[in-house]
Amino acid sequence: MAPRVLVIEDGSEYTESYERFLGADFRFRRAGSGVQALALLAGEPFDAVVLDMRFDRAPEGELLGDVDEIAERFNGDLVQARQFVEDHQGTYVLAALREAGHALPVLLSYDFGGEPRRWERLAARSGSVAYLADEAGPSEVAAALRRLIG
Amino acid sequence: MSLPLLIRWRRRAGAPLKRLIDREPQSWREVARIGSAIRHEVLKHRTSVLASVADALEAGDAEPARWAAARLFGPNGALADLDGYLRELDALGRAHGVRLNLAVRDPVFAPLVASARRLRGLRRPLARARPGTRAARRLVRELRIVSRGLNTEAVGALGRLIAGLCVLRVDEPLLRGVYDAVAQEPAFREQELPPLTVTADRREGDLHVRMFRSDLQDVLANLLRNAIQASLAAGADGVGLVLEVEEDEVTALDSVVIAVCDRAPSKLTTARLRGRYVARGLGLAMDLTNRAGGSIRVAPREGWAKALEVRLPRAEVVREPRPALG
Repeated sequence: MAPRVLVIEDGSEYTESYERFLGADFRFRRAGSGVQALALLAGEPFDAVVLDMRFDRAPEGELLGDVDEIAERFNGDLVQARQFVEDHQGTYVLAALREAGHALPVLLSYDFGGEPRRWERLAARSGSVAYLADEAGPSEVAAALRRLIG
Repeated sequence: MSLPLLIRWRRRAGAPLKRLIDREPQSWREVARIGSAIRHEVLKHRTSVLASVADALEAGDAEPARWAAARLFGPNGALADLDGYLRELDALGRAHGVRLNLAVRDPVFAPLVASARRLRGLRRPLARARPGTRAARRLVRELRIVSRGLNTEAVGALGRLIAGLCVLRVDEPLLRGVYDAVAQEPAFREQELPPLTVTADRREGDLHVRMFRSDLQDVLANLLRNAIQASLAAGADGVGLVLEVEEDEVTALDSVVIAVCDRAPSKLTTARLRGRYVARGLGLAMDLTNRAGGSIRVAPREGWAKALEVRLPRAEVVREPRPALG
Protein backbone atom coordinates (compact mmCIF):
# COMPACT_ATOMS: atom_id res chain seq x y z
CA MET A 1 0.00 0.00 0.00
CA ALA A 2 1.25 3.48 -0.89
CA PRO A 3 2.65 5.44 2.08
CA ARG A 4 0.29 8.09 3.48
CA VAL A 5 1.76 11.57 3.62
CA LEU A 6 0.25 14.54 5.42
CA VAL A 7 1.12 17.84 3.71
CA ILE A 8 0.84 20.79 6.09
CA GLU A 9 0.69 24.04 4.14
CA ASP A 10 -1.49 27.14 4.22
CA GLY A 11 -2.10 27.02 0.46
CA SER A 12 -2.57 23.97 -1.73
CA GLU A 13 0.34 24.33 -4.17
CA TYR A 14 2.46 21.53 -2.78
CA THR A 15 -0.39 19.08 -2.34
CA GLU A 16 -1.63 19.66 -5.89
CA SER A 17 1.86 19.20 -7.35
CA TYR A 18 2.58 16.09 -5.32
CA GLU A 19 -0.77 14.48 -6.12
CA ARG A 20 -0.20 15.13 -9.80
CA PHE A 21 3.40 13.91 -10.03
CA LEU A 22 3.72 11.49 -7.12
CA GLY A 23 0.14 10.30 -6.74
CA ALA A 24 1.01 6.82 -8.02
CA ASP A 25 3.56 6.24 -5.25
CA PHE A 26 2.14 8.13 -2.26
CA ARG A 27 -1.27 9.07 -0.90
CA PHE A 28 -1.41 12.72 0.09
CA ARG A 29 -3.71 14.52 2.49
CA ARG A 30 -3.57 18.24 3.20
CA ALA A 31 -3.86 20.14 6.50
CA GLY A 32 -4.08 23.92 6.28
CA SER A 33 -2.49 24.62 9.66
CA GLY A 34 -0.81 23.03 12.65
CA VAL A 35 -4.16 22.90 14.45
CA GLN A 36 -5.75 20.98 11.56
CA ALA A 37 -2.72 18.70 11.33
CA LEU A 38 -2.91 17.75 15.00
CA ALA A 39 -6.62 16.96 14.60
CA LEU A 40 -5.97 14.78 11.54
CA LEU A 41 -3.04 12.97 13.14
CA ALA A 42 -5.16 12.16 16.16
CA GLY A 43 -7.60 10.20 14.00
CA GLU A 44 -5.65 8.79 11.05
CA PRO A 45 -2.35 7.02 10.59
CA PHE A 46 0.28 8.70 8.40
CA ASP A 47 3.76 7.56 7.42
CA ALA A 48 5.32 11.00 7.03
CA VAL A 49 4.68 14.72 7.01
CA VAL A 50 5.72 17.38 4.52
CA LEU A 51 5.72 20.67 6.40
CA ASP A 52 5.90 24.16 4.92
CA MET A 53 7.67 26.89 6.89
CA ARG A 54 5.85 30.11 6.12
CA PHE A 55 2.12 30.34 6.88
CA ASP A 56 1.02 33.82 5.87
CA ARG A 57 -2.39 32.69 4.63
CA ALA A 58 -3.48 30.69 7.69
CA PRO A 59 -6.24 32.21 9.85
CA GLU A 60 -4.81 33.95 12.92
CA GLY A 61 -6.62 31.63 15.30
CA GLU A 62 -4.93 28.60 13.77
CA LEU A 63 -1.35 29.80 14.10
CA LEU A 64 0.67 28.09 16.81
CA GLY A 65 2.91 30.20 19.06
CA ASP A 66 2.10 32.83 21.68
CA VAL A 67 2.16 36.16 19.80
CA ASP A 68 1.96 38.21 23.03
CA GLU A 69 4.97 36.44 24.46
CA ILE A 70 6.91 36.66 21.21
CA ALA A 71 6.18 40.40 21.04
CA GLU A 72 8.66 40.76 23.93
CA ARG A 73 11.41 40.26 21.35
CA PHE A 74 10.14 43.18 19.29
CA ASN A 75 9.76 45.87 21.96
CA GLY A 76 6.14 44.77 22.41
CA ASP A 77 5.31 45.19 18.70
CA LEU A 78 2.47 42.74 17.98
CA VAL A 79 2.64 43.23 14.20
CA GLN A 80 6.28 42.14 14.07
CA ALA A 81 5.51 39.27 16.45
CA ARG A 82 2.69 38.02 14.23
CA GLN A 83 4.96 38.25 11.19
CA PHE A 84 7.63 36.23 13.02
CA VAL A 85 5.14 33.52 13.95
CA GLU A 86 3.95 33.32 10.33
CA ASP A 87 7.48 33.23 8.92
CA HIS A 88 8.62 30.44 11.27
CA GLN A 89 5.31 28.63 11.75
CA GLY A 90 6.79 25.37 10.44
CA THR A 91 9.05 25.12 13.48
CA TYR A 92 6.12 25.77 15.84
CA VAL A 93 4.11 23.04 14.12
CA LEU A 94 7.07 20.65 14.31
CA ALA A 95 7.48 21.32 18.04
CA ALA A 96 3.74 20.80 18.60
CA LEU A 97 3.76 17.49 16.69
CA ARG A 98 6.62 16.18 18.81
CA GLU A 99 5.07 17.46 22.02
CA ALA A 100 1.85 15.63 21.14
CA GLY A 101 3.86 12.41 20.77
CA HIS A 102 3.85 12.17 16.96
CA ALA A 103 7.28 10.78 16.15
CA LEU A 104 6.65 10.23 12.42
CA PRO A 105 9.27 11.54 9.95
CA VAL A 106 8.92 15.18 8.93
CA LEU A 107 10.22 16.69 5.70
CA LEU A 108 10.54 20.46 6.10
CA SER A 109 10.01 22.48 2.95
CA TYR A 110 12.54 25.13 3.87
CA ASP A 111 16.10 25.40 2.69
CA PHE A 112 18.37 25.30 5.74
CA GLY A 113 21.43 25.22 3.46
CA GLY A 114 22.28 28.79 4.45
CA GLU A 115 21.72 28.12 8.15
CA PRO A 116 23.73 24.97 8.96
CA ARG A 117 24.13 25.80 12.64
CA ARG A 118 20.39 26.30 13.06
CA TRP A 119 19.57 23.09 11.22
CA GLU A 120 22.02 21.06 13.29
CA ARG A 121 20.30 22.15 16.51
CA LEU A 122 16.78 21.77 15.18
CA ALA A 123 17.53 18.31 13.81
CA ALA A 124 19.20 17.23 17.06
CA ARG A 125 16.02 17.75 19.05
CA SER A 126 13.34 16.94 16.51
CA GLY A 127 13.74 13.21 15.87
CA SER A 128 13.37 12.03 12.29
CA VAL A 129 13.57 15.18 10.14
CA ALA A 130 15.02 16.30 6.83
CA TYR A 131 14.71 19.43 4.75
CA LEU A 132 14.20 20.23 1.08
CA ALA A 133 16.42 22.58 -0.85
CA ASP A 134 14.49 25.45 -2.42
CA GLU A 135 15.08 24.17 -5.92
CA ALA A 136 13.64 20.70 -5.11
CA GLY A 137 10.92 19.52 -7.45
CA PRO A 138 8.50 16.61 -6.97
CA SER A 139 11.10 13.94 -7.83
CA GLU A 140 13.42 15.20 -5.09
CA VAL A 141 10.47 15.23 -2.68
CA ALA A 142 9.75 11.59 -3.54
CA ALA A 143 13.37 10.61 -3.00
CA ALA A 144 13.51 12.43 0.34
CA LEU A 145 10.24 10.84 1.51
CA ARG A 146 11.49 7.36 0.58
CA ARG A 147 14.69 7.94 2.55
CA LEU A 148 12.73 9.17 5.56
CA ILE A 149 10.10 6.45 5.53
CA GLY A 150 12.71 3.77 4.87
CA MET B 1 20.40 60.20 -32.29
CA SER B 2 19.21 57.72 -34.93
CA LEU B 3 16.14 55.60 -34.16
CA PRO B 4 17.99 52.25 -33.81
CA LEU B 5 20.52 53.90 -31.49
CA LEU B 6 17.74 55.51 -29.47
CA ILE B 7 15.99 52.15 -29.10
CA ARG B 8 19.25 50.52 -28.06
CA TRP B 9 20.00 53.32 -25.63
CA ARG B 10 16.54 53.08 -24.08
CA ARG B 11 16.93 49.33 -23.69
CA ARG B 12 20.29 49.71 -21.94
CA ALA B 13 19.31 52.76 -19.87
CA GLY B 14 18.69 52.32 -16.18
CA ALA B 15 20.60 50.86 -13.28
CA PRO B 16 21.15 47.54 -11.52
CA LEU B 17 19.67 46.94 -8.07
CA LYS B 18 22.98 47.73 -6.39
CA ARG B 19 22.59 51.38 -7.41
CA LEU B 20 19.34 51.57 -5.43
CA ILE B 21 20.87 49.92 -2.36
CA ASP B 22 23.91 52.19 -2.57
CA ARG B 23 21.77 55.32 -2.85
CA GLU B 24 19.16 54.29 -0.29
CA PRO B 25 20.70 51.69 2.04
CA GLN B 26 17.49 51.49 4.07
CA SER B 27 15.77 49.94 1.04
CA TRP B 28 17.55 46.62 1.71
CA ARG B 29 14.67 45.38 3.83
CA GLU B 30 12.10 45.87 1.03
CA VAL B 31 14.54 44.38 -1.49
CA ALA B 32 14.92 41.33 0.76
CA ARG B 33 11.14 41.02 1.18
CA ILE B 34 10.45 41.15 -2.56
CA GLY B 35 13.39 38.84 -3.35
CA SER B 36 12.12 36.30 -0.81
CA ALA B 37 8.60 36.51 -2.22
CA ILE B 38 9.87 35.79 -5.75
CA ARG B 39 11.89 32.87 -4.45
CA HIS B 40 9.06 31.46 -2.37
CA GLU B 41 5.81 32.30 -4.17
CA VAL B 42 6.95 32.17 -7.78
CA LEU B 43 9.87 29.78 -8.01
CA LYS B 44 9.53 27.38 -5.10
CA HIS B 45 5.75 27.08 -5.19
CA ARG B 46 5.16 27.06 -8.92
CA THR B 47 8.03 26.75 -11.35
CA SER B 48 9.76 23.96 -9.41
CA VAL B 49 7.53 21.43 -11.24
CA LEU B 50 8.98 22.19 -14.69
CA ALA B 51 11.50 19.35 -14.65
CA SER B 52 8.75 16.91 -13.59
CA VAL B 53 6.53 18.19 -16.42
CA ALA B 54 9.40 17.46 -18.82
CA ASP B 55 9.82 13.96 -17.34
CA ALA B 56 6.10 13.25 -17.72
CA LEU B 57 6.05 14.47 -21.29
CA GLU B 58 9.02 12.34 -22.11
CA ALA B 59 7.21 9.37 -20.58
CA GLY B 60 4.20 10.03 -22.82
CA ASP B 61 1.95 12.01 -20.48
CA ALA B 62 0.94 15.50 -21.70
CA GLU B 63 -1.64 16.21 -19.02
CA PRO B 64 0.86 17.70 -16.50
CA ALA B 65 2.01 20.10 -19.24
CA ARG B 66 -1.51 21.48 -19.60
CA TRP B 67 -1.94 21.61 -15.84
CA ALA B 68 1.36 23.50 -15.49
CA ALA B 69 0.36 25.94 -18.23
CA ALA B 70 -2.72 26.88 -16.23
CA ARG B 71 -0.58 27.59 -13.15
CA LEU B 72 2.12 29.50 -14.95
CA PHE B 73 0.24 31.79 -17.32
CA GLY B 74 -2.79 34.05 -17.13
CA PRO B 75 -3.68 36.79 -14.66
CA ASN B 76 -3.08 34.65 -11.54
CA GLY B 77 -0.18 32.66 -12.90
CA ALA B 78 3.37 32.55 -11.64
CA LEU B 79 4.66 34.81 -14.42
CA ALA B 80 2.06 37.49 -13.72
CA ASP B 81 3.10 37.40 -10.06
CA LEU B 82 6.75 37.71 -11.08
CA ASP B 83 5.91 40.75 -13.20
CA GLY B 84 4.10 42.24 -10.20
CA TYR B 85 7.14 41.79 -7.94
CA LEU B 86 9.44 43.27 -10.59
CA ARG B 87 7.11 46.27 -10.86
CA GLU B 88 7.33 46.65 -7.07
CA LEU B 89 11.13 46.81 -7.32
CA ASP B 90 10.88 49.36 -10.14
CA ALA B 91 8.52 51.47 -8.03
CA LEU B 92 10.87 51.21 -5.05
CA GLY B 93 13.71 52.45 -7.27
CA ARG B 94 11.62 55.34 -8.62
CA ALA B 95 10.62 56.33 -5.08
CA HIS B 96 14.33 56.87 -4.38
CA GLY B 97 15.16 58.50 -7.70
CA VAL B 98 16.75 55.41 -9.28
CA ARG B 99 15.49 54.14 -12.62
CA LEU B 100 16.14 50.42 -12.46
CA ASN B 101 16.69 48.22 -15.48
CA LEU B 102 16.62 44.78 -13.90
CA ALA B 103 15.94 42.96 -17.17
CA VAL B 104 19.14 44.11 -18.81
CA ARG B 105 21.53 45.59 -16.26
CA ASP B 106 21.17 43.52 -13.14
CA PRO B 107 23.37 40.43 -12.70
CA VAL B 108 20.81 38.63 -10.50
CA PHE B 109 17.56 39.60 -12.19
CA ALA B 110 18.59 39.73 -15.87
CA PRO B 111 19.07 35.92 -16.14
CA LEU B 112 15.84 35.39 -14.17
CA VAL B 113 13.88 37.68 -16.51
CA ALA B 114 15.46 36.01 -19.55
CA SER B 115 14.41 32.56 -18.30
CA ALA B 116 10.91 33.84 -17.55
CA ARG B 117 10.70 35.26 -21.08
CA ARG B 118 11.76 31.92 -22.48
CA LEU B 119 9.11 30.19 -20.37
CA ARG B 120 6.49 32.64 -21.66
CA GLY B 121 7.29 31.41 -25.16
CA LEU B 122 6.26 27.89 -24.11
CA ARG B 123 2.66 28.80 -23.36
CA ARG B 124 1.19 27.37 -26.55
CA PRO B 125 3.56 24.39 -26.81
CA LEU B 126 2.64 23.40 -23.22
CA ALA B 127 -1.08 23.74 -23.82
CA ARG B 128 -0.91 21.71 -27.06
CA ALA B 129 1.82 19.21 -26.23
CA ARG B 130 1.54 15.85 -27.99
CA PRO B 131 3.97 13.26 -26.67
CA GLY B 132 6.25 11.55 -29.14
CA THR B 133 6.31 14.40 -31.63
CA ARG B 134 9.35 16.45 -32.59
CA ALA B 135 7.66 19.51 -31.03
CA ALA B 136 7.29 17.64 -27.74
CA ARG B 137 10.95 16.67 -27.74
CA ARG B 138 11.86 20.32 -28.36
CA LEU B 139 9.52 21.34 -25.54
CA VAL B 140 11.16 18.87 -23.15
CA ARG B 141 14.59 20.35 -23.95
CA GLU B 142 13.29 23.89 -23.46
CA LEU B 143 11.60 22.98 -20.17
CA ARG B 144 14.85 21.58 -18.81
CA ILE B 145 16.77 24.72 -19.82
CA VAL B 146 14.16 27.02 -18.28
CA SER B 147 13.94 24.87 -15.16
CA ARG B 148 17.70 25.11 -14.66
CA GLY B 149 17.59 28.88 -15.24
CA LEU B 150 14.76 29.49 -12.79
CA ASN B 151 14.89 26.71 -10.23
CA THR B 152 18.64 26.31 -9.85
CA GLU B 153 20.38 29.47 -11.03
CA ALA B 154 17.81 32.15 -10.14
CA VAL B 155 16.92 30.52 -6.80
CA GLY B 156 20.62 30.38 -5.89
CA ALA B 157 21.37 33.92 -7.07
CA LEU B 158 18.39 35.36 -5.18
CA GLY B 159 19.38 33.45 -2.05
CA ARG B 160 22.92 34.83 -2.23
CA LEU B 161 21.61 38.34 -2.84
CA ILE B 162 19.32 38.22 0.21
CA ALA B 163 21.92 36.55 2.46
CA GLY B 164 24.49 39.23 1.63
CA LEU B 165 22.27 42.24 2.31
CA CYS B 166 23.33 44.45 5.20
CA VAL B 167 25.39 42.05 7.26
CA LEU B 168 27.37 43.48 10.16
CA ARG B 169 29.87 41.62 12.32
CA VAL B 170 29.48 42.37 16.02
CA ASP B 171 32.65 41.91 18.03
CA GLU B 172 34.71 43.28 20.89
CA PRO B 173 36.55 45.93 18.80
CA LEU B 174 33.20 47.32 17.61
CA LEU B 175 31.94 47.58 21.21
CA ARG B 176 35.16 49.15 22.48
CA GLY B 177 35.14 51.57 19.54
CA VAL B 178 31.70 52.87 20.54
CA TYR B 179 32.81 53.31 24.16
CA ASP B 180 35.96 55.17 23.06
CA ALA B 181 33.91 57.49 20.84
CA VAL B 182 31.49 58.27 23.69
CA ALA B 183 34.42 58.85 26.08
CA GLN B 184 35.74 61.50 23.66
CA GLU B 185 32.49 63.49 23.70
CA PRO B 186 32.83 67.02 25.25
CA ALA B 187 30.68 66.06 28.27
CA PHE B 188 33.10 63.29 29.27
CA ARG B 189 36.47 64.26 27.80
CA GLU B 190 37.75 65.98 30.94
CA GLN B 191 36.30 63.48 33.40
CA GLU B 192 37.64 60.33 34.92
CA LEU B 193 35.28 57.73 33.53
CA PRO B 194 34.26 54.49 35.18
CA PRO B 195 36.45 51.65 33.92
CA LEU B 196 35.01 49.53 31.10
CA THR B 197 34.76 45.74 31.23
CA VAL B 198 33.99 43.87 27.99
CA THR B 199 32.94 40.24 28.17
CA ALA B 200 32.39 38.38 24.89
CA ASP B 201 31.23 34.79 24.56
CA ARG B 202 33.69 33.40 22.01
CA ARG B 203 32.27 29.86 21.98
CA GLU B 204 29.67 30.79 19.40
CA GLY B 205 32.12 31.95 16.70
CA ASP B 206 31.61 35.12 14.69
CA LEU B 207 28.42 36.99 15.42
CA HIS B 208 26.58 38.85 12.67
CA VAL B 209 23.38 40.88 12.60
CA ARG B 210 21.44 42.61 9.83
CA MET B 211 21.79 46.21 10.85
CA PHE B 212 23.71 49.25 9.65
CA ARG B 213 26.94 49.81 11.51
CA SER B 214 25.98 53.45 12.14
CA ASP B 215 22.59 52.40 13.57
CA LEU B 216 24.11 49.91 16.01
CA GLN B 217 26.76 52.45 16.99
CA ASP B 218 23.98 55.00 17.68
CA VAL B 219 22.04 52.52 19.82
CA LEU B 220 25.06 51.51 21.90
CA ALA B 221 26.35 55.09 22.20
CA ASN B 222 22.99 56.16 23.65
CA LEU B 223 22.94 53.35 26.18
CA LEU B 224 26.61 53.85 27.12
CA ARG B 225 26.16 57.61 27.46
CA ASN B 226 23.32 57.03 29.93
CA ALA B 227 25.29 54.39 31.85
CA ILE B 228 28.35 56.64 32.15
CA GLN B 229 26.29 59.68 33.16
CA ALA B 230 24.39 57.69 35.79
CA SER B 231 27.63 56.17 37.12
CA LEU B 232 29.35 59.57 37.37
CA ALA B 233 26.33 61.11 39.11
CA ALA B 234 26.07 58.26 41.63
CA GLY B 235 29.80 57.77 42.03
CA ALA B 236 29.25 54.16 40.95
CA ASP B 237 32.17 52.11 39.78
CA GLY B 238 32.46 50.46 36.38
CA VAL B 239 30.51 50.10 33.16
CA GLY B 240 30.20 46.73 31.43
CA LEU B 241 29.53 45.52 27.92
CA VAL B 242 28.56 41.87 27.58
CA LEU B 243 28.23 40.14 24.21
CA GLU B 244 26.48 36.79 24.16
CA VAL B 245 24.11 34.55 22.22
CA GLU B 246 20.66 33.32 23.17
CA GLU B 247 18.88 30.49 21.37
CA ASP B 248 15.16 30.24 20.78
CA GLU B 249 14.02 26.75 21.68
CA VAL B 250 11.28 26.44 19.10
CA THR B 251 12.74 28.06 15.98
CA ALA B 252 16.42 27.36 16.82
CA LEU B 253 17.12 30.95 15.80
CA ASP B 254 19.80 32.85 17.71
CA SER B 255 19.69 36.34 19.10
CA VAL B 256 22.82 38.37 19.62
CA VAL B 257 22.55 40.01 23.05
CA ILE B 258 24.60 43.10 23.87
CA ALA B 259 24.13 44.13 27.50
CA VAL B 260 25.18 47.58 28.67
CA CYS B 261 25.63 47.31 32.45
CA ASP B 262 26.29 49.76 35.26
CA ARG B 263 26.14 49.94 39.05
CA ALA B 264 24.19 53.18 39.44
CA PRO B 265 20.75 52.99 41.07
CA SER B 266 17.95 53.54 38.58
CA LYS B 267 14.16 53.49 38.26
CA LEU B 268 14.27 52.58 34.60
CA THR B 269 12.10 49.59 33.68
CA THR B 270 11.22 47.83 30.45
CA ALA B 271 7.66 49.16 30.78
CA ARG B 272 8.97 52.75 30.96
CA LEU B 273 11.13 52.10 27.91
CA ARG B 274 8.23 50.68 25.92
CA GLY B 275 5.92 53.46 27.09
CA ARG B 276 8.56 55.93 25.84
CA TYR B 277 8.77 57.64 29.26
CA VAL B 278 12.44 58.09 28.47
CA ALA B 279 14.80 60.68 27.02
CA ARG B 280 14.93 61.21 23.25
CA GLY B 281 18.19 59.26 22.87
CA LEU B 282 16.70 56.11 24.36
CA GLY B 283 13.59 56.52 22.22
CA LEU B 284 15.81 56.67 19.14
CA ALA B 285 17.67 53.55 20.28
CA MET B 286 14.32 51.77 20.65
CA ASP B 287 13.27 52.81 17.13
CA LEU B 288 16.54 51.65 15.60
CA THR B 289 16.43 48.23 17.28
CA ASN B 290 12.78 47.87 16.34
CA ARG B 291 13.61 48.52 12.70
CA ALA B 292 16.27 45.79 12.88
CA GLY B 293 13.73 43.32 14.27
CA GLY B 294 15.16 43.47 17.78
CA SER B 295 14.40 44.85 21.22
CA ILE B 296 15.82 46.58 24.25
CA ARG B 297 14.87 45.57 27.75
CA VAL B 298 15.98 46.33 31.27
CA ALA B 299 17.12 43.24 33.14
CA PRO B 300 18.92 42.35 36.33
CA ARG B 301 22.42 40.99 35.86
CA GLU B 302 24.70 39.52 38.47
CA GLY B 303 27.41 41.93 39.62
CA TRP B 304 25.59 44.98 38.23
CA ALA B 305 22.75 47.23 39.39
CA LYS B 306 21.09 46.98 35.99
CA ALA B 307 21.65 46.02 32.38
CA LEU B 308 20.01 47.31 29.23
CA GLU B 309 19.95 44.33 26.91
CA VAL B 310 19.86 44.90 23.17
CA ARG B 311 18.65 41.77 21.38
CA LEU B 312 19.08 41.44 17.63
CA PRO B 313 18.36 38.46 15.37
CA ARG B 314 21.63 36.74 14.54
CA ALA B 315 22.41 36.43 10.85
CA GLU B 316 24.02 33.09 10.05
CA VAL B 317 26.69 33.79 7.48
CA VAL B 318 27.94 30.89 5.42
CA ARG B 319 29.62 32.70 2.56
CA GLU B 320 31.73 35.82 2.73
CA PRO B 321 29.22 38.62 3.37
CA ARG B 322 29.17 41.85 1.47
CA PRO B 323 30.10 44.69 3.85
CA ALA B 324 27.15 46.32 5.59
CA LEU B 325 26.03 49.42 3.80
CA GLY B 326 25.68 52.75 5.58
